[in-house]
Amino acid sequence: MARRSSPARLVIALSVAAMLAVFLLYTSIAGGGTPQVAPSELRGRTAEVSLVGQVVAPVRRSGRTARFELKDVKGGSAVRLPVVYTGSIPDLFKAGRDISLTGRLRDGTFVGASGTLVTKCPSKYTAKKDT
Amino acid sequence: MSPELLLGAVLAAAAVVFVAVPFLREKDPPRPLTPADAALATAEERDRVLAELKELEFDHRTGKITDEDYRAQIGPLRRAAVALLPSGTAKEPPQQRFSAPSVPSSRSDR
Amino acid sequence: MPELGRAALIVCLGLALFAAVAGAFAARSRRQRLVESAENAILASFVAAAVAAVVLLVGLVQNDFSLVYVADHTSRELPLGYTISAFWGGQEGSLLLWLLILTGFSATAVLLGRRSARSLLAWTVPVLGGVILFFAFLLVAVSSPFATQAAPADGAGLNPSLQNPYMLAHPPMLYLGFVGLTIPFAFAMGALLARRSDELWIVVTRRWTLVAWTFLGFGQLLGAHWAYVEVGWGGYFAWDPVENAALMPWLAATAFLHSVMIQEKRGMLRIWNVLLVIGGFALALFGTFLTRSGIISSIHSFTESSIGPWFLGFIGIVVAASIALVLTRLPLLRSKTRLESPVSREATFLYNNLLLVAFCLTILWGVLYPIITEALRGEAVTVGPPYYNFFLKAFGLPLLLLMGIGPLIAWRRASLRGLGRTFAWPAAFALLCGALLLVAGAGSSIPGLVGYTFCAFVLASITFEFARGTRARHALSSGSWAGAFASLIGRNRRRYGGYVVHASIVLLAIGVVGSSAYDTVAEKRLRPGATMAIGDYTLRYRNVEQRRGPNSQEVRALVDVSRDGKRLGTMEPGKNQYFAEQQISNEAAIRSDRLNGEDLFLIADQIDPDETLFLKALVKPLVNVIWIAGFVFLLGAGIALWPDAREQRRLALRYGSSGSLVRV
Repeated sequence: MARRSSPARLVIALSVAAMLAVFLLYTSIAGGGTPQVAPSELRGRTAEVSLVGQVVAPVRRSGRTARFELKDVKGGSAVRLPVVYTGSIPDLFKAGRDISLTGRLRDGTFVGASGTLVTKCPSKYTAKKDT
Repeated sequence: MSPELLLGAVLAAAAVVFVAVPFLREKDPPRPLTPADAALATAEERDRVLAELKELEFDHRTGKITDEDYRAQIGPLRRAAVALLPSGTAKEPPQQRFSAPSVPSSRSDR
Repeated sequence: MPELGRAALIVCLGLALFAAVAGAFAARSRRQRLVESAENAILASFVAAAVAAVVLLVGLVQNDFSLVYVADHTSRELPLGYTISAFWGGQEGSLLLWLLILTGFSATAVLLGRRSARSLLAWTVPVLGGVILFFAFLLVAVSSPFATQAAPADGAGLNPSLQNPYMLAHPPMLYLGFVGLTIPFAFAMGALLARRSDELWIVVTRRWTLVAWTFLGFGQLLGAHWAYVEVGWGGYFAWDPVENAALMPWLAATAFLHSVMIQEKRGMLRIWNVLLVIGGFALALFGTFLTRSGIISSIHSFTESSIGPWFLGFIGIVVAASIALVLTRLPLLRSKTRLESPVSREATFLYNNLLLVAFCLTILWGVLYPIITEALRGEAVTVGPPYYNFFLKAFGLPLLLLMGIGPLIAWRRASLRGLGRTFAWPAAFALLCGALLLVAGAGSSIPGLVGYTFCAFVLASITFEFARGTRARHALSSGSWAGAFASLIGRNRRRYGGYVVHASIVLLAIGVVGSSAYDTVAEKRLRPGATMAIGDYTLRYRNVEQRRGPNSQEVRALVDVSRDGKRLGTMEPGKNQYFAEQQISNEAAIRSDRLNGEDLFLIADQIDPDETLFLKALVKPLVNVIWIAGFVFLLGAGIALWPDAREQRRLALRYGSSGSLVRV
């Protein structure tokens, strides 16, 4: 073949560069995701975060709004963060379960955005003898 | 020894025996290990070119390739195929070879 | 009984060690009898694993709660089918299932390879032995299914949401896929270790790859269907780390499946193929690790378990050793042919590889991002569905287009005239469809409209392939059209089976686009007697009904559905409260319209004691096309896998000339 494969190589290189550009463009414009924090780590930060913690009784529910307190899943922190959430509440949700929800801190209470409440499945590896 | 441990020991023993079986035979095995050789690479290349010829024919017949493209490609492919024909090496029976590339095979399509 | 199980696993471990070490020594020094001995060790390892599996199965069926595993995952009133499925319900059992399938596949590969690929098998055996060694070691030393305890009165039972037929089939199918990718990997490494530069390893593993890929694909579809009907949030895929864990190896395997065709036909992309097979296997291991180690918290991950670090270590070793091997054998992998034109079928496959790998890497990045940010910044940052959905569109739409372009474009170099000729009709059809859809209102989502247009293009391209091929065969053989069609497919099952699989992917795309780009969602708080409208439907909430189920209390909201004044029926979304497990499960109501494939999906978010209902309704157009795609997928894979005696003979001749009879 008289022609070298350079046009082909060039096109391949350009394609790879294009994909990389798409990726970088998206991540720089759309932002890098939401930080996951525990209640004790929130410390008055008012940006939108994903809060991960364990539900502390009592849970007060009226309609689709639930008010409860959240504590760290691990560690002995005494922080009890008041949370208010309006939206569909998953069936697994109850006091003592680990949850995560996205929202922001407002006047000392964490306000969760609707539809972001996720309850972690209880462990399948420990026997469910603790009910 | 409980019956289960006995079973376990039997299993272990059977495994050892099975693994040792080849050594209980005569020393020389009938089929020696054959390493890959250059003839294999040529055979693969030949098959590749022949398959490409068949596909070119079929693509032309189904209209995927224009007449000019077909004419442009068929020449070099046929020459390549001829160049790869074994020159007195293989003992393959002639009727099992692919039909000669110069005749567009009516039974071929891949 | 457990002692037999433990003993069997130890025997398996010993055999795997022998196969790995003695097998490597035997291959290197070409000792024929030692090679056979190592092969036998692989065969025996399957028997040992099977014995251990039977012990666990018997323990499950007999409700032997002295086995910790049985007590943790079953209970006395659990039906037999689900008791058996508890085998893979927990970590230890699923590792044992991995081992069982792995040794089974390895034994099969040895038996088949003994006849056809002797010298290649010599080096493949130690690689297989090494992988079996890892899993056997985990089961013996780290995570044993045979731990015992004083038997409690009853077991803990199985999570109710796992008690349905989909969950019986979904995990084993995925495991068949994950483990199946080990075989091509082992043969690829074997070929490199043996310093072979021929394609025998590809020929030998072609069916393995296709079978593993099919199981992995269909298994994921089953999982998606389960999520849709059982978990019932209105979707079928949430980009959850565990879902991604299965998707990534499937994407790598898809790239591999296509890329090896280029190596076969043109001798190119050889380095790509080795890297893809390593990537697929490493991602399968990584997927197992993700699902079982709990390192990434997800809605269905489990608490931290002991095997995480071991898995990571093994993956690290596998990747490092494989890459090192590839680097040292690089001269063997250089292709003799080069890419002639960026507009050719070879180039299309290369773009296909690039897009699939890029998509796979973006998913991997999204999955690893929380771990990386936590390690670097002390705070985990997660990415959500918007990230993944963007790249699904960015990379998936071009992939869809390539599916249509690939079959139509010529090898080596496509001339503009040739392109114009073959693309004219499919492109025209696609643009026409696009215009019609635009008029019909599909312009509300540009990516959706583009997706549909590309789908039309691919379908047209596939139809043309079948039509032109049938016409050509008919001209040759002068039989019936049906006969020509059958003969066309019969003579090239891989190609036309592949086209059917492409059609199934198009159906999948149509269903996904319809149900995500054109869906409608509405939520309302309803008192008994109130109505709500969504799409063309009118929903009237009647009242709440309470029923007693076999092991649960069922609460149902009765909702009358009508469309254009015509009464369609009553749907009953609600919740179940399970007594034994003390859990509430969501029971969504789904009404599938047979004519247009759309679903009306009702979720009773909350039912208050005073019968106030919070109802969430979704209309998901064309979602049922997704499930139909699954069957078309299987059909296509079946055609592609169908043994072809003619091809067997041809391959027998090729590899027969090097001294051994071949039946591949």
